[in-house]
Amino acid sequence: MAGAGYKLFQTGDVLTAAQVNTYLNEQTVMVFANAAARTSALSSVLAEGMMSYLQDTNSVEVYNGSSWVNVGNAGDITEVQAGTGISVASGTGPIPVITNTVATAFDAAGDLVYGTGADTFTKLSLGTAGKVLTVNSGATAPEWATPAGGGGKVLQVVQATYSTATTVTSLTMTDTGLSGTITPSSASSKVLVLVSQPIWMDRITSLAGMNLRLMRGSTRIYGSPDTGGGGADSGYSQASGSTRIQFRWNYTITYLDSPATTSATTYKTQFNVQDTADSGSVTAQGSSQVGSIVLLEIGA
Amino acid sequence: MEHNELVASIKYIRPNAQFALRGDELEWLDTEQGKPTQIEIEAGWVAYQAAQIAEAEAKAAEKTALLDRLGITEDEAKLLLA
Repeated sequence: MAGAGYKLFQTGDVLTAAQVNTYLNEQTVMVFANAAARTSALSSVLAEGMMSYLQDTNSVEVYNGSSWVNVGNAGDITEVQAGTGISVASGTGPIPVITNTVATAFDAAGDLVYGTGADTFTKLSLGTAGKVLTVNSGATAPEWATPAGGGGKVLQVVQATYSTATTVTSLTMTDTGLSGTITPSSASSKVLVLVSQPIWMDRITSLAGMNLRLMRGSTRIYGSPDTGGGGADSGYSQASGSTRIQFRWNYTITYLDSPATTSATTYKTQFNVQDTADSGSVTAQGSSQVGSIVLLEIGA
Repeated sequence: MEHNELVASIKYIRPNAQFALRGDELEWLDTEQGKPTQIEIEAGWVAYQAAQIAEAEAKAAEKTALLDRLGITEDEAKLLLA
C-alpha cells in the first residue's frame, strides 16, 4: 500500500505482485481522466499518501486518509484586497503591487501626516523657521504657529547712540542722526522704542518751537507730518521768554510699535523748527551730548 | 570751527536761512539765499564775535549812561529793583 516507503531490490530478487502494487502502482502519480474515474479505480485500495493527476482540472492531488486534497494550488493567494491606508494594484495577480498610501502622503522633508477622522488622514507640510507645532484654535488639528514668546517678555534689546551735533533751521523734517535697527524674531512681536535725545532750541524772539518725530523706516509712527507741525501735533515743544529763547533739555519718547515684520527694521528721529524767522534753530546732540535709542522686542 | 560756532556764523551772515548741519557737514535747504562758502563762514564767525562784543559794550555804555543820568550807582539801582 502507499506509504510502504522505498525498497532496494537486489540482483536475483523475485518481484511479487504485491511489491508491484505497493512500491510502484500505489506510490507513483496516477493519471485519471477525472475524479470519478479515480474513485472508480481506487475505491477498494485507497490509502493515505496516494497521489493522482486529474486531466480535466490539470491538478495534482494527494489522499490525506479521508479525502483528496489539491497539492499544486493549495494555500495560493488568489486575491489581495486593500485595507485602510493601503492601495493594491493587480489585486488578483499574478503579482499584486501593495502600496502604503500613508507613506505616499509624504512629499517633502519635514512633512507630517495626521488623522482627520476615522481611517482618514492628511499631510501637514513643514513650518517655517522658528515655528512650533501647536493645536489650532478650533482644537481640531495640529498646525505650525509662532511661539508664544512668553507673553510680554523681552526677547531682545538693541541700543544705539549718536553724539554728532546736528542743527536744523528748516521746516523740512531732517534726520537727527540718531537711529537704531532691530530684527524682530516674530512678526507678532511688539517693539518698545525708548528715545533720550539732548535738544537745544534757539531763537531771537519771545517764542521758539520745534517738532521731533519717530520714524520706522520712512513711515512716521509718532509726531508731526513732513513739514511744519505745531501745537496740535504730538512731539511739538515750545518755549517762551523775553527777547531771545535758548532752551536746552533732554527729549524723551516712549512708543510701543507693532512693526509686523521679521525683517531688519530701523527706527530714527527727525526734527524741524516751527518757524524759520528770527534765526530759529534746533540742535540735537549739541556739544556732542549723547543721544540714545533703545529698542526692546516684546513677545506677543 | 566748532558746530555751535558754525551755526552762529551761518545764522549771522544768512539770517533766517534754512539749512541742516550735521557735525561740520552743511546741507543747504534754503532756496532764497545762497549757500555760504567756507571762507564766508569763517569771516562770518569773526564778524559775529565782533558784533557780540560791540553789542555787549553798547549795552554796558548804555547802562553807565543811564546810571549817570539817574545819579546812582549800580548797587543802588539793584536795591531799587529788589
